[in-house]
Amino acid sequence: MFPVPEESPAHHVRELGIWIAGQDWVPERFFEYTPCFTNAETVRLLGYGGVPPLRVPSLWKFPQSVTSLVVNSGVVTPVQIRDIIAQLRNLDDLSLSGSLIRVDERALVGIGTVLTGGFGGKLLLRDECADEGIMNMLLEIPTGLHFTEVNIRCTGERLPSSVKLAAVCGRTLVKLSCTIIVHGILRAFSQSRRKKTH
Amino acid sequence: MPFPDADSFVEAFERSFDFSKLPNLQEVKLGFRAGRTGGGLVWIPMALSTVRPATSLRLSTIRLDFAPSPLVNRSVLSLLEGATDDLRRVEYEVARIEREFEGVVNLTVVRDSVFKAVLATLNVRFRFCRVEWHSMT
Repeated sequence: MFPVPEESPAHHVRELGIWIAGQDWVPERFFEYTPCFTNAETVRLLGYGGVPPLRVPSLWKFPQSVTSLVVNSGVVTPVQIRDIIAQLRNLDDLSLSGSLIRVDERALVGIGTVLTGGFGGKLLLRDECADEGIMNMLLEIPTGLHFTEVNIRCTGERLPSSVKLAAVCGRTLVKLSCTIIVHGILRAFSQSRRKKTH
Repeated sequence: MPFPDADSFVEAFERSFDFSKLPNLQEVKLGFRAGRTGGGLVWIPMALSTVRPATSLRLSTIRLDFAPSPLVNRSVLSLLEGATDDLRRVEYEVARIEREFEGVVNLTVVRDSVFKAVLATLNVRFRFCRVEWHSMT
C-alpha cells in the first residue's frame, strides 16, 4: 500500500478487473481500497466456483467515476447485482452474463426501484442473466432506460421481456441484437411446419 | 411464460418487436441459436419463417448459430440431395424477408463445418443473400 495516497498510481487506472470467486478471488479487504481508483471507468467482476460461496457486494465500494459494469460470474444473486449497480450513479454500460444464484422470485419484486444510473450506453444480457428477475429489475428503474444498444441472448420464454426492454428504450435505441435459443422446440416446430406445408 | 407448442412460439415472435416505436433504430440483428439440428436443413427455413417486420422495415443481419452436427460422416452431397424441399423453402423465406424488409439480408451462420459447403451453395443460389460462415474454433 501507499502510505501517502497522493503518491498512489491508482488514479491512472481506467479499468478494474476483479475475480470475486474461484481460485484467484481477491480478499474482501481489497474493496476497502477500490474507491482510491478515482478515474476508473470500467469494473469487471469475474469468477466461478464456490470459493468463497457467498460474500456481501452491498458492502463493496466502487468509485463514482465508473460508467461501465461487467459481471460474468456464477456467485451472485440478482439482489447482489442490484446492490452493486445502486452504487454506480453514473452507470451507462451494463453487461451481465454467466449464471445466477437462484432466489425466491417474490423477493425480487421492486428491487429496481432504487436504481438511479444513467443507463444510456450499451446493455448486454446473456446466459442466466437474461432472466425475468434481472429484466424486471431494469424495467422498474424510475428514471427509465436510455440505452442506445441492446444485446440480449435468451430463450423463447424471455422474448416478451426482451421486447419490453427494447420498447422502454424507445427513441434512444439505435442498435438491437436479439438471439433466441430455440433448441427446446426445434423438433416440434419443424414437424408442425411440415404438416402445414403439406 | 413457457411456450406449450411450436406455433405459439412463432406467434409470440411475430408479435414481438414493434419497430415503429423505435424510430431511431439503425441496426437490427436477429439470431437463432439452435441445439441439435439432426443434421438436416429444415431448421434454417424454420428460423427464417419467424422473422417478420412488425410495422416497419429495418433488419441488418440474421444470425443462425447452431451446435456441431452429429452427422459427421454424412457427405455434403447427400445432404444437399436430401434437402431439396428445405432449400426451396429457404429460397422462399429469404425472398420474402428481402421483400418485406426492403433490404439486403446478411445471413450469418456459425460453427458447423459440414454446412459450410451447403451454405456456400446457398450463397450462389440467392442473389441478395450474403451467407457468411464463422468458425468458432
